[in-house]
Amino acid sequence: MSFDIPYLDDENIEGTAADLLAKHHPSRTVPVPVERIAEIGLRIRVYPFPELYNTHGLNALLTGDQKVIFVDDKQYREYIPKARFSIAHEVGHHILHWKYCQDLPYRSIDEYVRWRLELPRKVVDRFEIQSHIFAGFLLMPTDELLEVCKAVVDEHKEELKILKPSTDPWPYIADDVAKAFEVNQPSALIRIQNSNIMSRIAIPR
Amino acid sequence: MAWKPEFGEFCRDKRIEKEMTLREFCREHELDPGWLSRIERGLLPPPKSAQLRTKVAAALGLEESSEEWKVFHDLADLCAGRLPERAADDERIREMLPVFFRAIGKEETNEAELRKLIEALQRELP
Repeated sequence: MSFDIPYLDDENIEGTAADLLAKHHPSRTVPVPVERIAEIGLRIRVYPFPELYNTHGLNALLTGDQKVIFVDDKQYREYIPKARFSIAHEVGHHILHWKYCQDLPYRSIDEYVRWRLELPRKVVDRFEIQSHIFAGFLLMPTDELLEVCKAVVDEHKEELKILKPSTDPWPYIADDVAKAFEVNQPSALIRIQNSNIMSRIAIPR
Repeated sequence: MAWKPEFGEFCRDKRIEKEMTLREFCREHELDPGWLSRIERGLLPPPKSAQLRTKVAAALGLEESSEEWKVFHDLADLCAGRLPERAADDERIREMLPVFFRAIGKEETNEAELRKLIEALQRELP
C-alpha cells in the first residue's frame, strides 16, 4: 500500500490554521494559546517525555492514535517558545495528515519498523514541511503578525533611524515580535520573510 | 510497568473539566508537570501521603466530603493497593506508534534507533 501526502500550498495551509483558530481561539489574541488549543480544544494530551531530544533527536511526537503529544521534557520546562512551536507542529500533523492514516498497512511492531524505514524521504519531508508551515501560521497569523510588526517598528523608530543603511533591521524587529508571539526569534523572522510584511512596512531610516 | 489508570484518568478528566492545561494547572497549584503527567497516565501510583492527596483533590476543585471527593479517595486507595500491570501489550503499542516524525539533523532513521524509540514510548504510554 502506498502512503503519500498531497502537496498543499501555503495559502491552503494558512486557511486550515485560520479555521482552527476560528473554532478554538476565535479572539485570535496573541500569544496564541497552543497548549490550550491542543488539550482543551482538541482533547489531545500534552505530556513531557524525558530525554526525547537527547536520546532520540526529537522535539516532540504525536502518537498514532492522535491522543497524546509528547514533548521533550527539558524543552517543555525550560524552552517554552520552542515547546510551543513543537506542539503547534504536532497539531499540524493532526489537522493536516490524520485523514491519510486511517488504514496503515502494519499489524505488528516488526511490520511497522519495516514500513517506517521504507517510507520515501520525499514523503517524510513533505509532511514535516507542511506541519512546520502550519505551526508558523497557527502561532503567528498574518494579520496579527503585521500589526505586531508595525507596533514594534513604531516603538523603536528612533533606534531604527541610527542603524547603518547596510544593516538589515528585520532580525532586530523579529526579536520583539518573537516575544509578543512567544516563539523563537528565528521562527518569527522566517514568518516575516515568507510573508509580504517587509514590503508593507516602511522602516524609518 | 503501569498502575491501573482509573485514578489518573479521573484526575485528568477533572483537570480538563476545569479547562486547564497541564502546565497551567501545575503552575497554579505548584505541582510538577512530569509527576502529574505520570499520575494521569497511570505510570505512577496515586500519592500515599494524605497531605498530597488533599492538595491534589483541592486543586481539582473537589469539595471535601462531596461524592467526587469520596470517589477520588476511593480510587486512590484502590489503585495504590494494586500491583503494577505489565507493560502495554503489542496491540496497544501498535496503535500508538508515531507516523510523523524526523529526527533532528539526521537524513534517515535506522532500525536500531527506531526500536529504541518504540521501547522508550512503551515506558511512557498511558
